[in-house]
Amino acid sequence: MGKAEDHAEFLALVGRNQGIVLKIAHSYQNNATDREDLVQEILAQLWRSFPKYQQDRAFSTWMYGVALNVAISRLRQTGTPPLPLDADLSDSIAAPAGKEPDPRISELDRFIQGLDPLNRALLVLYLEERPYREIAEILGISETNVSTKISRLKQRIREEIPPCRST
Amino acid sequence: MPFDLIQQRGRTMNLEDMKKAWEILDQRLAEQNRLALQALTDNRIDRAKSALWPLVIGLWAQTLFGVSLVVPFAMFWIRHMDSVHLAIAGILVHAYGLMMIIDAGSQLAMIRQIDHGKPVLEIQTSLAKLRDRRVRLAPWLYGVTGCLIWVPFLMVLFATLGADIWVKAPMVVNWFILSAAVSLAVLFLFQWLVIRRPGSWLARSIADMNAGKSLTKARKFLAEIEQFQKEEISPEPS
Repeated sequence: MGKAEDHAEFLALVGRNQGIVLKIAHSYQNNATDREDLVQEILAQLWRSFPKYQQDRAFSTWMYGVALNVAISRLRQTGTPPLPLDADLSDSIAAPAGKEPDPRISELDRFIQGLDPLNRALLVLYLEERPYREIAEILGISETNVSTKISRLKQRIREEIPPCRST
Repeated sequence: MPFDLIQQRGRTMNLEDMKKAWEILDQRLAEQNRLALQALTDNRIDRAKSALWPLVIGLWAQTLFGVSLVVPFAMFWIRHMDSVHLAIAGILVHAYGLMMIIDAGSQLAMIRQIDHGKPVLEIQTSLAKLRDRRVRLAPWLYGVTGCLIWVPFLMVLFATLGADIWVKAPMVVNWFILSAAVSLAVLFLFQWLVIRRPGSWLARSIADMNAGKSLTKARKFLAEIEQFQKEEISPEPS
């Protein structure tokens, strides 16, 4: 396949899955500039790695793997703990112009930003409702390990958040 | 801990709430992304529209210039029907003025028909048609006529001043015609080179010159949008 065809195929595949990149950038960086930089870095890495993508795997699974690796590495390079959440940016997503504000988004943001990079990846994939087998493949851990970690995450939520009314 | 934060704020969330919030976040990020792209597109379309203004002004100026030729030269050849060479000279310049008006009017109509609210590809297509028209017709409409028209123009000018050079100084007219023929030969040589090597620097330069700076600039802004839309989902291939 020629370079132009590769590029066209890459554009089509990434275009269909660009929400993944946006959500991962949103989950791993706190302000608009850093998020944009992370989106660019992820896209650049996806393009560099594209020749190694094996078509027998789901593109989204491969994309999660590459994007999360970049996001985790970047977070580690820039150093944890993360910067304070950009309140304006979070609010603009939680309550965009013309829409009802949704406090759940702000709360979710704050919650995600408090997690370490790997648990953040786990939560992102769990919220994306990826099967345990796929989460295991993406994070490079066993399926049993995924199940255990998610159980712990749920346990933690149950312990720290009392049985509650829904919002 | 983030959970403490949630509780401190008097709000509680469970996993189902989180999943719901995640879904909403997904939709809003996509919407925000779409709006950002739209804002950039609008900005570039406005700039492309503004870039066309010099061309529009130029075309109106061309129309006025055409009118300024048509009226006096029509009056001239009507008054000199008894002298064939002067009548023909007057008619030629008159026709040249009409051609300028018609050409400018037709280009202004094409610009007027460009709907800047339409998708970028459609605007680009309209601009490409306008450019193609200018590039294709300019050498013949303005190149060929420009090489020749000054001869009857000067004949009429001298006649208006009281000197019929066709009769009184035929050598001067012959020299004019020879000069016009040389310019025409040079023009054809360039056209031949352009047709022979359409991708060459010379061909591109002549095409850009005939298209005009305004059109080139407007197309550049629209190309930026196209590029941005590509970058939105992909980096440039290395």
